[in-house]
Amino acid sequence: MKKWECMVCGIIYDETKGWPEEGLAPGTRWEDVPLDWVCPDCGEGKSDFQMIAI
Amino acid sequence: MSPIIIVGAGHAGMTLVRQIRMKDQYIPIILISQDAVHHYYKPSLSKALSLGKSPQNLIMSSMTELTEELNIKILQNTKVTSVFSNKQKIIIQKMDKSPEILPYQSLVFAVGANAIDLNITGDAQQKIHSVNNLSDYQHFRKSIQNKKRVLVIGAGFVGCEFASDLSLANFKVDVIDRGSWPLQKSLPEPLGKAIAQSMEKTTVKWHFNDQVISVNKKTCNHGSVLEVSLQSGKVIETDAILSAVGIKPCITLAEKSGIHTNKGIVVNDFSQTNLANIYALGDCVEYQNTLLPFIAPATSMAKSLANTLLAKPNIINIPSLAVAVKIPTCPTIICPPVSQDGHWQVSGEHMDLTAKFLDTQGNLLGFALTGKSTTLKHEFMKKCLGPFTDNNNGLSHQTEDLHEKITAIIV
Ligand SMILES: Cc1cc2nc3c(=O)[nH]c(=O)nc-3n(C[C@H](O)[C@H](O)[C@H](O)COP(=O)(O)OP(=O)(O)OC[C@H]3O[C@@H](n4cnc5c(N)ncnc54)[C@H](O)[C@@H]3O)c2cc1C
Ligand SMILES: [Zn+2]
Repeated sequence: MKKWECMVCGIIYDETKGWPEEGLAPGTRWEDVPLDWVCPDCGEGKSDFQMIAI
Repeated sequence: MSPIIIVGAGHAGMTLVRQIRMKDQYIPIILISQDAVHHYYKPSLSKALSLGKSPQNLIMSSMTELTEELNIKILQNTKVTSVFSNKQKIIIQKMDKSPEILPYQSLVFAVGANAIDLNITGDAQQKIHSVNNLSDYQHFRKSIQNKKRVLVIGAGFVGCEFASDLSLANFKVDVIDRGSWPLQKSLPEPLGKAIAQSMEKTTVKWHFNDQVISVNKKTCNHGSVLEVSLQSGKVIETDAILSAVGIKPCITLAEKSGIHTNKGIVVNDFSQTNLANIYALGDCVEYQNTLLPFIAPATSMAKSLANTLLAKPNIINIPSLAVAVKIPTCPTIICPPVSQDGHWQVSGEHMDLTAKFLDTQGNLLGFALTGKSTTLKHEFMKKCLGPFTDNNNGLSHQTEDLHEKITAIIV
């Protein structure tokens, strides 16, 4: 499982935890997040997230 | 070819640059700001203490990194002082240097808003801080170093968030507001009370229906403190003061350049001002009589404006907005109703409340959610008409035939 950081607002998506309140169940891999999904904090698109080391 | 010139390097200006670069790597862009330029995320300012971050830690990329990454020219500590729209030129002034003229192809105002200053008297009136950018915040953080008490003026979004952040960092916080509950402009009393009670359990003390009249220095045996006098006659002793009573769009430069302004810089469906080749977005903008000084509207405006600037005119389409208020003791989400014609309908219990702002036909114009109800955010956003009902009916405005029509309107 990986972690991804929004390059605009710095929020972190942790695949292990998912984002239940945003409709992403725990364990949802980044590649399975819908393409039109936007960052809940800043509204940026999926492409603005980068993988970060844990 | 003359460059696209963007004035202001906050979220609006910076997002616009990134959106343009996603579509065009080479079109010349100059980004100008009267402040130092670096990438930081302004909403983080009101949670930096709980995040354990110093102001310096909030910087995500430096000016050098931005210049390279985005292939643009950045002029920092440089103010745009005049615009000659008939000649498509601006005058810039860098600190102690002599003024310079720059030609533009398109000019974008992303100049943001300024904190409103209250009329407060007293010999320590200049000790009142307001925070609307990183350097303001640096000064504020210095002023609370080794201190224990902070007084916050204003219980709106920013005031509540700072009060919350300071209390989580163990400061004793007094909050003064003219209204009767926090966030009174954006949510009804029961939700305001829930927020207030949750924060009273920490170190926050509210002073509602009151106003600050004067601030004076007082020397005592452990140094000097500030004495804040309220209209009610109450006197509060504190160590630092933060004013968060709202912001006012920066319209001076636009106004004197012949651009239509009202509360903000007035723009049409394409983010364009009344003048050719001049656009605006972000906190400085007024669209359909409305100011939307939040991150998400600026992001969506930047996405469509990037297309418009690259000769693919694109109508701005601002989806319904759900702003999370950063109060960990009582999670809160607000979709501020744009129209005042309606009434609140509240349900739920304890801290877990939902409030719908409905018009006479029962349409959902806005909402507020607290506690566990915040999980209903997506459901409510879908039902909500959004700030601009007439261009928010789910139609895509980006179809090819519309494209031509739109080009005809713009040119
Ligand atoms: C503490 C705090 C917390 C917030 N939290 C949230 C949140 O959680 N969610 C949310 O949606 N919104 C939040 N906001 C609001 C959000 O940060 C703003 O809506 C957004 O950052 C505005 O971006 P902007 O680029 O329009 O304006 P600004 O960031 O103000 O940028 C404008 C820039 O233009 C420069 N400028 C102005 N005039 C000139 C000139 N003549 N020449 C050159 N440069 C000029 C200014 O110096 C400034 O740097 C918060 C705001 C604050 C203060
Ligand atoms: Zn983000």
